[in-house]
Amino acid sequence: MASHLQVSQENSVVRDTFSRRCGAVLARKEKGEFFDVKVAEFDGAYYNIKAEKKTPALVTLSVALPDAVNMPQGAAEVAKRAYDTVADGSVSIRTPPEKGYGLTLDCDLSKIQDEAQAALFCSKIASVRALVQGIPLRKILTDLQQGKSVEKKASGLQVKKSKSMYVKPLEDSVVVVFPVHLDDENDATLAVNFLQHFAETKRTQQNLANAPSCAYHLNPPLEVKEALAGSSQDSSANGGYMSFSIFSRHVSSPDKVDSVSWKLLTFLHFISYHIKASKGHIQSRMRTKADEWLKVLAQAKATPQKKKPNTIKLQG
Amino acid sequence: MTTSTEAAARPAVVIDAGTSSTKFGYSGNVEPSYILPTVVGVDNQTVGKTVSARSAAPSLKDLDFLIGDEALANTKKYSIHHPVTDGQVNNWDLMEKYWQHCIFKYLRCDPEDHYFLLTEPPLNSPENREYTAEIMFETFGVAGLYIAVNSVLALAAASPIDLKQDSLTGTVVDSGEGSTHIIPVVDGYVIGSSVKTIPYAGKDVSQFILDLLKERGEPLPYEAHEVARIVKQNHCYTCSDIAKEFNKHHQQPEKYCQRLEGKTSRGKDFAIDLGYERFLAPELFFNPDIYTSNWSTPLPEVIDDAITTSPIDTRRALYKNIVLSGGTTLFKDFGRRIGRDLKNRVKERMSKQVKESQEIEVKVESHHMQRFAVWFGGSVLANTPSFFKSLHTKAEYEEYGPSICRMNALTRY
Repeated sequence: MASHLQVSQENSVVRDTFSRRCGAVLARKEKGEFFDVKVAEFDGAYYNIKAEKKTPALVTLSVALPDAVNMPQGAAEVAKRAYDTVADGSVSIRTPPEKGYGLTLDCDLSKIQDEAQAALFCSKIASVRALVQGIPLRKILTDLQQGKSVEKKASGLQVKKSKSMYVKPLEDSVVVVFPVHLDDENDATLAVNFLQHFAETKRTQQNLANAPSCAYHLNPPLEVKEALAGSSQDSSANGGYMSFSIFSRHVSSPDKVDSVSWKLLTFLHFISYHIKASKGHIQSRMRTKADEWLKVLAQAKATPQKKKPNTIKLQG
Repeated sequence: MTTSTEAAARPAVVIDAGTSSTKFGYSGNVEPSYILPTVVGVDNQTVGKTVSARSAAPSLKDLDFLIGDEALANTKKYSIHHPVTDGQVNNWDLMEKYWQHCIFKYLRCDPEDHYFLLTEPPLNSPENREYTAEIMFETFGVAGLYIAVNSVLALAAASPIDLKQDSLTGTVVDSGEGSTHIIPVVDGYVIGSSVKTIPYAGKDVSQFILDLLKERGEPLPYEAHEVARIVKQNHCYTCSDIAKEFNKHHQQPEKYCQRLEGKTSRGKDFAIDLGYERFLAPELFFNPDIYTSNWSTPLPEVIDDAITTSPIDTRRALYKNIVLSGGTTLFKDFGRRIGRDLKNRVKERMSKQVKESQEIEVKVESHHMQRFAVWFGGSVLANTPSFFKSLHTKAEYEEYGPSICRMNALTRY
C-alpha cells in the first residue's frame, strides 16, 4: 500500500471520465453526452477530453506535454501501437493535433467488448503522458537492457520549464543526475535534509539491497559537470544533486522499463510533494503544541484581589 | 518562481468544501471533476497516540490516510472523521490532509502554478480565513488565494453575466444534505442578521422516504439508505396540493405508482413499489408536520421571514431574484411550488394594507447548474479579469501576513 508514496502513471480525471463513458457505451445507452473538460497536471501538462452528443462512442483526448518539452519523435506511432494491443482500431491519431496540444487521439469506444477490456483501456489511456513523455528515456533504458549501451556524453532531458534531468549512459549502467533547485530557501533546506536521508536508507535497510544505488552530493557530480555548465541554475542548485545508477537488472522487462522511466520523470515532483507533506506535518505538530499550551493557560486563575472593606473606622 | 502571469495563464483550482460533500476541479469547466464526501479516514493506530509517541518512530504514517469514497470503503482499517461541520472547518489537521489529497492525488497539479478559489459559508469567522490562508500559502505554497462566500457564488451562477444589471442581489435557498439555509444577499454582501436556517435537508428527506416505505411493509434490501437515496433522486416530484394528489393516486394507480427494481451490492434482486412517498417526501418542506413535531414553519414562510427582516428598500429586489442551489432543490417543480406559495403569502399580506401599492413580483430561478451552483459560480468567477485583481498573491502574503486574507474583495466582472 505504498500508493501514497508514488505518483501514479494514470491521470485520475482522464481515467474516470473514460470509464464513465465506456460504462455508458457498454450498457448500450443511446444518448450521447456532451462534455469538454480541460485538466491541468503537474509540471505544466494539460489534457482536454471532448465528446459530442450525436456520437456517443467517440471521445477525443488531447495531451500537451510540459512547456519546453517537445513531443518526442514517433509519439503518435508508439501510442497507436500501444492502444491497438488493447482494443484493435480503437484509437486513431489526428493530424494535425488540436491547437495548443501536442497529440490528439480520437477514441472509438464501440470497439471495446467487455468490462475487463474497458478497465484496461481506461487505465492505459490515462497513462498516455507516461507513454509519450518517456520515449527518449525508455530508448536509453532499453538499450541498457539489451546490452547495447555505450558510453556517451551526458545529455539533458527537460522535465519542466527550467527543470531538467541529466542522463549519462555507460557500458553497464545509466547514471541519472537530478539538480534539485527550489525557489523558496526554506524548502531548499528541507530538500537537502530529506534527500540526505533518502540516499542513506539504502545502506540502513536490508530489503533495498537490490535497488539502484543513489548518492546525494551538494556539489555537481563530475560525470555531468560539463553538461550542467549550460544552465546557471542547474550548476548551482540550492537543493543539491541526486544521482541514481540504473543497472540492467533493474530494467529486465518492458514493464520495468516503463515503471523506471516514469519514476525518474516524476522524481522532482515526488520531492516537491514530500516537502509539502513535511511542512504540513510540522504545522500540525505546531498546532497540537499550541493547543496544549492554551489548555495550560486556560487553567490559570486570576488571584482574587483582597477587597478593601468600605467601612469607616472611628478613631479612638 | 512562478510569475503571476504564468499562474494567470493556467486554470485556477476551485474547491467547494461542504459539510457532506466537496466539489473540486479546474476553473473553465462546467462541472467539477470530483464530488467526494468530506470525510478523512485516518489509520486506527495513529489516532490517540501522543505527539511524542508519534514522532519517536520514524515512519510515514502521517501520509497513510484516505479521503472521500475510498475512506468510506475501507472503514476496517481507517476510522472516519468529518473535518467540516455546518460548513465550517472544525479540525485543521484533517482539513489540511483532505486538501493535500485533493491537490496531489486527484487533481495532480503543482500548487505553486495555480491560483486557488475556496468557498466559505456566510458568517464565517475571519480567524478561519486566516487559518485557511496559512495552510494554503505556508504548506502548499499556492500562487494566489481567494475565499468566496458560497451564496454569492450561487447567485452569480444563476444570473448570466451579460445582463445590464450587474448587482448581485437576491435570496439564495441553499439546501444540501445537512441543513437548509435562506440567505439574502444585497449587492454581494450577505445580510447576516436575516440568514435563516431550517434543520431539515437531504438526509431527512431520505429518512422520511425510508420511514414511509417501512411503514407500508415494503421488502427493503439490506442497503435501505441507498435505495431511499435512489428513490429521492429519481422518482420524487413536488405536487401542487396533497389532497388532490392523493386522489390522483387512488383513481389512477397505474399512472402514478412506479416500481423500482434493482440489484443489491451482494447481487440479490429486489423490487419495491413506490406510491405516496413520491410526492410526500418533498412535501416535508411545505408541511413539516408530516415528518416531525420539532419544526412547523414551511419553507416559503421562512423565506418570507428572511426577506421581511431585511432592509425595506431591498425587499422588492430580494423577492424578484430567488435562487435555488444544492442537491435537495432538484425535485421536479420545487421552484414553482415555492414561487406559488410565496406569491400567495405576499398577496395576502399586501391586501390587508390600507394603502394600495405596486404588486410585488416573486420569481424563483431554476437553472441547469443547480446541483453544483456554488462550484460553477466559482469556476466562472475564476475566469473573469477582476478575479486576478482581487485575489491575494503569495508575494502579498509574505509581505503582510495572513491578516490580508480576512478581507476578500467582491468582484463580478
